[in-house]
Order: sequence, then C-alpha cells, then structure tokens
Amino acid sequence: MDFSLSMEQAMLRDSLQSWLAAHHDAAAWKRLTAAWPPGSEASWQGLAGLGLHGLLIPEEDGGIGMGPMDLHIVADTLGQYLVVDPYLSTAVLGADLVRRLASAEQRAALLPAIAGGELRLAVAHAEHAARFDPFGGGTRAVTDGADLRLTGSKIVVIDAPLADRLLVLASEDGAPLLAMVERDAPGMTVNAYRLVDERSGADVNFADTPAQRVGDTGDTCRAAVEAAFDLATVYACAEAVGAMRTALRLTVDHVKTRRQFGTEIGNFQALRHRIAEMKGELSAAEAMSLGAAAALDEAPEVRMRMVSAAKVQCIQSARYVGRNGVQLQGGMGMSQESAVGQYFKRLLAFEPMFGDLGFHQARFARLSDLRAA
Amino acid sequence: MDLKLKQEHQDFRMEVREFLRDNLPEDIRDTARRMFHIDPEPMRRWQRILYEKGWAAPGWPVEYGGTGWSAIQRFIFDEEYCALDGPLPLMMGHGVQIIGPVLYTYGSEAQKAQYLPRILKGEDFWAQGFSEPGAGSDLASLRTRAVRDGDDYVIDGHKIWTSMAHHSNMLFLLARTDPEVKPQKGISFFVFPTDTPGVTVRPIISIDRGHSLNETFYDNVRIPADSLIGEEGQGWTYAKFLLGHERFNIAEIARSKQRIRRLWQIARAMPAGEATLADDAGFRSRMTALEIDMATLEQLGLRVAWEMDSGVHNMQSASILKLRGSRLIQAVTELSVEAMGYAGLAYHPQQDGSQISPPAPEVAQGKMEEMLFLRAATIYGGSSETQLNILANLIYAEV
Repeated sequence: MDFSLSMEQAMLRDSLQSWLAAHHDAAAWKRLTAAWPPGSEASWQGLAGLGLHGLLIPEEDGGIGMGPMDLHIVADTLGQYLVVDPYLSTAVLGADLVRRLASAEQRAALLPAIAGGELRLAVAHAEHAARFDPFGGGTRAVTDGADLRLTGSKIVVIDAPLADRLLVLASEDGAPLLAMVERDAPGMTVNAYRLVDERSGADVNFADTPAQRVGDTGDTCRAAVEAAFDLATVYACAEAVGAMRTALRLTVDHVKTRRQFGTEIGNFQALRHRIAEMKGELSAAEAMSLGAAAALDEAPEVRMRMVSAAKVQCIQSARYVGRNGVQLQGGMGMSQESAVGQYFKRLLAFEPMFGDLGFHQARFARLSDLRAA
Repeated sequence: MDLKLKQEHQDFRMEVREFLRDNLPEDIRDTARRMFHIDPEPMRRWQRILYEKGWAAPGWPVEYGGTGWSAIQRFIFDEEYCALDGPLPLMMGHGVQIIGPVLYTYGSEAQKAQYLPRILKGEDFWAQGFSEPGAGSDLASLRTRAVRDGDDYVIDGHKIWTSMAHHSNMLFLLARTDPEVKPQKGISFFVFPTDTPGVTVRPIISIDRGHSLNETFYDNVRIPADSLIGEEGQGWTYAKFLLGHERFNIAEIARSKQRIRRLWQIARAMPAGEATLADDAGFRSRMTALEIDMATLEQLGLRVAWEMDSGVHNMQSASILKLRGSRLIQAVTELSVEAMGYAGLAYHPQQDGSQISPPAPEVAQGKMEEMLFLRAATIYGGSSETQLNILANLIYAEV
C-alpha cells in the first residue's frame, strides 16, 4: 500500500497544475463560460497537448494507457479549476465505453481521434422516467441492415452541444445496447441549454434516427456500462474533491482577512470549528474517492459497493463544504461574481451524476458485507 | 500510488486469523461480548498467551520484544481480533499501547530493562495520571508539583480520570517541576509504583454504574530521582508523542465494524410486528448511513497507517481520525441501545458483570453499559472540540 505519487504522477499533476494556473484563472473561467457552447478549442487542444485525452486509452490505440489512480490525479486537478471542457464525456466515459464494447474497426476510428483531441463525445443515458437506472429507459433500437434506427428521448445529455457524436444507451427487444449517432443525424432534434454550473447540456429526441451498433446486446453491454459508469462516478468524485479543495482554500483565505467586530473573523471559535469540519469532510471525501478508484478492478460486487459508498460520502462532504463555503463568505458568497458560489454550483451539479445519494445508498445496502447472520 | 494490500499482508491476515481462532480463549471472548469493563485476571491470561506467541506488543520494535509490525499489519490484526470479540487491550492497563512507546523512545537503558519485559509478560498493570480537576482539555495548566529533594522528587497533587488505577501497580504521571517557565516547559514525566506511601486511590463510578475511573491523591509522595523519564522539563513533549500514538488506537476502527455486525444481530432478534427490526425500512436506511461512515473511517485509517509507516508527519489526519472515529463509536452504540426499545431500560449491572435485562436478547448484553461509558469517546484523548481547535490551527498555518 502506497499513497505517495510516483515520479510520473507528480509530473502529471505538476504539468497540469501549471498549465491550468496559466490558462484557467478566474478571468479565463468567466470568458470560457460566457461563450456558447462553453469552453474553447484552445483549451481542449491544450489538454490534448498534455496527453490527457488518451490517458485511459491503451498505447496500441494511440493513448498512453494509464490507470484510474492517474485519472484521479487529473480529475482532482481539473476540479480545482472548474474546467468546463467535455473531458468526462469524451476521454473518460466515452473512451471507456468504446474501449470496452466497440469492434476493432470502431476502436481504430475512434480511440486515436479521442487521444488526439480531434473528437468530442457526449453520452446520452438519462431519461426522465428512468431516474438513475441506466437500463430503465424507453429508447428503442431496431436493426436496419448492418445498422440501427433509434427512437426515444434522452434528457440532460451533458456536453451534447459540443459533441461530434453521441453514444446512446438504448434497448433492442428488451436487452440493453449501446449505439452511436452522428451529430447531424436525420430525425434527431436537440434542445440545448446551460447547466447550473455553466457547462452545457441538451435534451435529445430520436425519431427513426440512423445509428451504429457499438458492441453486443444484452449482458455484455450491461456489464460494460456498469463498469464504465463506476469509472465515471469515481472521476466525478475526484473532480468534486478538487472543487472542495479550492472552495475550502478560498474560504480560509476569506476568514483570515475579513475583519468584523475588530478582528479577523477566522479568530471566532464558531468559524474555526466550521473550517476544521470542512477539512474533515474534504479528507473523508478524498479517502473514499481514492479507495473507490483502487477498487475499480475488483469483482463487480466489491467495486460497486465501494463506488457507491464513495459517492454517498462525496455528496455529503460536497454539501457541507459547498454550503459552508458560501455561508462563511457571507453576502459576498451570494454574488454571481464570487468564486466560491461557482464551486458551490459545480458541487451541486455533481450530486445527481450517475446516481444521487439515495440511489447509491440503496445500491450500497444491497451489497453490504456486514449483514451476514 | 497503489492502494492495494500486498500479498504478504493477505498472508499475514490468514496467519492472524488462524492463531486467534485457535488461541483466543472462548470464555474471554464471551466475557468481552457481555460486558465492557473486564477484570485484569482474564486479561493477564490473554497477555501471557500473546507473549508465548511473541505477539505481546504489536506496535513495539523487535529489539524491545515487540513484533515490529507496521501500522498496516496492526490494522489487520485489529480487524481480525475485533471480529472475534477480543477484549479491549486497554483493559490490560496502559502498558503496551501507551507507556511502552514512551519508555522505549525516551527512557534510560535501566528503565527499559526494568519495565518493558514486565509489560510484555503482563506482570505490571499501568495507569495514567495526566488530567487534573483543573486541567482537562487544557492539560498544560496542570498543578501537581514535583520538587527535587536530594536524590528524590517529592510529589504533591491531585489527578482525576485515572483509569484502572485500582487495578494498577504502576503509575505514570505528569507533574510540574518548574513553575516559573511557560506552562508547557515546566512539566516532567515520572513513573513509580502505585503503593508508594502517600498515594491514595478513590473510585469514581461512571454513568454506566461501572468502576474503571478513579481520582488519585499524592501527598508528600517521595520517589527516587531515577523515576524521571528523559529530561526534566520535557514531559510535555513526551505526552504529546503519547497522545499522537493514542489517536490511532482510540478511533477504534475495527471495533466499530464489529459493533455494526452485532447491531444487525440485535435488530434481527428484536421482534417488530410480523417481522423484525432488521426488516424496518427506516432502521435499514440508518444502518446504511452508519455502514458508509464506517467505510470512510476505514479508508482514513488506512491512510493514517500508511503515513505512520512512511514517516509522513500529518497531525491533521490523526485529529480527523480521532474526531470521526469517536463520533462513529457513539452513533453505533446509541443505535444499539435504541434497537432494544423498551427492553434497553431494564438495566441492572451485576457483580459478575452480567446485566440482567430479561426482555432484551442475549446478543444485546452489555450494550447499555457500552453506550453510557462511550459518551466519553468524544471527551478522552483530546475532546472533539480540542481536536477541532488543533485542526484549525494547523489549517491556518498551512497557507
């Protein structure tokens, strides 16, 4: 067991950290989020230049073949700067689904393009009536020669306005299936909007829309989607940890300088204790997020139990740190200008991702190992 | 970064599991299941068994008769030990876990030779004299005096919360040797026999109606100068070292895990209409929350264990572990009592340690005592509020 960073990991963190410090400061964030769709080609290519898009992609597919612990470092660091580029959709969830399910031909077409920063993906999985069950949706696929046709409605497809292609979770004769749709496919309508944390999303309708099959239908698809969602959940947790880290730092800076009643407010014990509790919550979230990253290659039951526990802990920590970050900065914390409010909103947007608190509590409870008679 | 336990640790777990299964006496396990406070006799017997195996002092270096185990190994040992309901090591006094590390780190060669082997064999029973009526969380304000007089020190004062002093034959104690300097600078660390003339032990009955706590009075207690540990005036440093060591153990990670398993057993034994409490949706969701807090505490504990093994000096994580560990102890023991419903109210501690609560299931024995006594978990070893103050100081100093 070793919690220290390897030389490569330290270099990864430091190079990303200094690139973000130079290109993603508060002024840049305002500019990037004022644009529509949010983000910029320069930022996306900058991240590609650091090798980040191919982080999880095997070397034979044009990536650098690193693992979940390395990804955790990247996510934590991107979270500290509230980066709005479609990294999770493309390089994490998208690339992992392709790697697990796609044919050799599709892999060759997609993975090197992702690694090179030439392709952006969005993953359409949520449906209004399915709540958080990725296999509970009503989007149907029917075979049409070698290809498919899709009919159904997806909601809150994060990063869809930026995506060149969508990966769509559907079902064929009741069995789950992953499909890929081109950006301008016929029969597809896109209603795009801003998310609460300034990223972009869209509701997407398919009406007999042509699509490509990605991998087998049924249990293979189900297992791959579960594994990829767990990876994406860990990524989201690690990104939330990074956001909490900055939210806490901003709050500490504030209470150490803001004066009221003749002294820095950080001297009041009520606030000292709140700061200490925030740090405890951050440590708890980080410990669980790392633990879940380390469990991703375990048997599915162990992996899912740990990922769900981590998601619950990270949501609870995110609430505590986000809400108190705003509270301790008082009226300033309420303004759209204030940085801490943006971190609060990113942490809010983290909550429902790949299952909310209740979803993961329930999944954890089904898998608990402390209940044997 | 590689957070997997190595194969050698998996093998170590199997070795520990097998040894404990074959050697931890059933009657001691049974007693520990039924009651929180345990007499020294069975504890001495168990310490002797560990000694024969060479496992008397899990945290000590090999050269002093310890196992030389890493913190990760101790973490694993604790998990296996608690899973079999092994009694709290502190029921054997403060020898192995608390004073031992101070003695081998700061004691003279003569002190090491005199005391360490007796701790290993379970021959000495140690109690700790730190807190005073006027010095609890603010330990540095202690007033018990030690005055040098020729080849002796003479101690006068009053200590409180001296756990297990009535079973002890040895005491370690903080006393002020220099009233002129800054409070932390004038404190020294002493060890001496409990039966030294002038020492009086008076019981304090705790809210569980048990007796583990005491007041101790020191009236003109004359001890030889070689009772001093390390240097005069350095006692605060040694005490901080000791408390840092303690924070890992008193988070009671593995113990809480076992209590959660037990709590499910209690719930399954408590009828609720046609089903049991374990089937109740509200109860189940509260258990889920506890189990997730448990998982988090485990991960934090592994992190701290790794820090201890790699010489990473992180005072924040030790405080966070103590803070969260003690809260979980209380949450689990509170829900254990709540699970008994009315039956929990029938509470009559007996001399033999059994608690006659007729309607409660056998598996809930000792749960009221445990919950009541463990209100202290957020008080001892640096209260929660003290931990938060320590943390805030460290956080403010960071940036």
